[in-house]
Amino acid sequence: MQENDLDVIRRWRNGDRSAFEMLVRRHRADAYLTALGITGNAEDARDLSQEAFVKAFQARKKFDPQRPFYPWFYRILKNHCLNFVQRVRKRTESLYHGDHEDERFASSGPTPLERMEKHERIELMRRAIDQLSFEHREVIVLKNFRGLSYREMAELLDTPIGTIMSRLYYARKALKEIILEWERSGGKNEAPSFPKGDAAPGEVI
Amino acid sequence: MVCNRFQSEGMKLLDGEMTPEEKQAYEAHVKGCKDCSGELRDIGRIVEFSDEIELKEPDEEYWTSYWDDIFRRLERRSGFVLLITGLIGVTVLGLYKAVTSPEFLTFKGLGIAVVLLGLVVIFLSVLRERYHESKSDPYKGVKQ
Repeated sequence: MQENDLDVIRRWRNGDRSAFEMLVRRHRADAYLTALGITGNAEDARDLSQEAFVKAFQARKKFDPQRPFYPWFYRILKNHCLNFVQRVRKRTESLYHGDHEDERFASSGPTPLERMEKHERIELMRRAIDQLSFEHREVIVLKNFRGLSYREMAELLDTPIGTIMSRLYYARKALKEIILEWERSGGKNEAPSFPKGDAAPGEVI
Repeated sequence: MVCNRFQSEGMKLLDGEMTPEEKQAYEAHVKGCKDCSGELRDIGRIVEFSDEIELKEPDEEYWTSYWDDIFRRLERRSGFVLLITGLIGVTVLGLYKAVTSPEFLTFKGLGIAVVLLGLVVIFLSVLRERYHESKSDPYKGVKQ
């Protein structure tokens, strides 16, 4: 931790709101995007991440200044998201790329057919992720949406790397099963079909 | 039954977490393991499609009101705590005064006492609800 960080943390723990504002500025994007990945709703993500910051300010005396801020804050955010997901299973709007025909998504495929297929895949994955348990959804969000390494995830979740890999495996296996189940039930109106590719990343030939 | 090497090594390969030596050794194993090659194909497709989803990062304009909202929440929370504390104090004092007043058994005295008692009941009800919520919260054990 840099001296500057320690000074900001010290001032924040003493109730200095300008120091707290600096901490919020540093971590707001991570907090918001993680909440967005978990809830899939922008308003909820904003509300949950802001509420987590408020809680962090109120609980500042419990924070150990020798430890990094974000993993501690993440646990507050996680608890909020966890309660939210369990209590309010809702989706009023979609905030993932590809859910609407926004410009970035529309230009991401070389042909209209490919763009449509990608759109369908994203929609399918988004719905499948919503069906995962919180623990599984969390690792998918951190790994695939936030791009954290195993080591970073292990530090953030205070969990051994082996457990992270295991959770990722079961989360992905669950996603596969959800998608297969949709296909078996012929629920193509409920969720788009899952395109079959010839090759997959990481496939050893 | 899936080959027990897939759960750890397959994940590491798909997530790009293997050293070149580990990758070479595992790829050699996969060539002769139908379980691993099948899972790599299926789970690999899931990873590929998960990676296609990107979260929309808000622009600078979005963040300008973000801190203001947090600041307002902090201010309002402090104000709310002060308000509730004051209300409880005033209610209890008023109830005490009403009960001990010589006018207590008049229409006016009883009216004031009933209103204040109503406030106490509402407050206790809210406290009881919050207590039960905290007792039944399945995630209260999750450390913070």
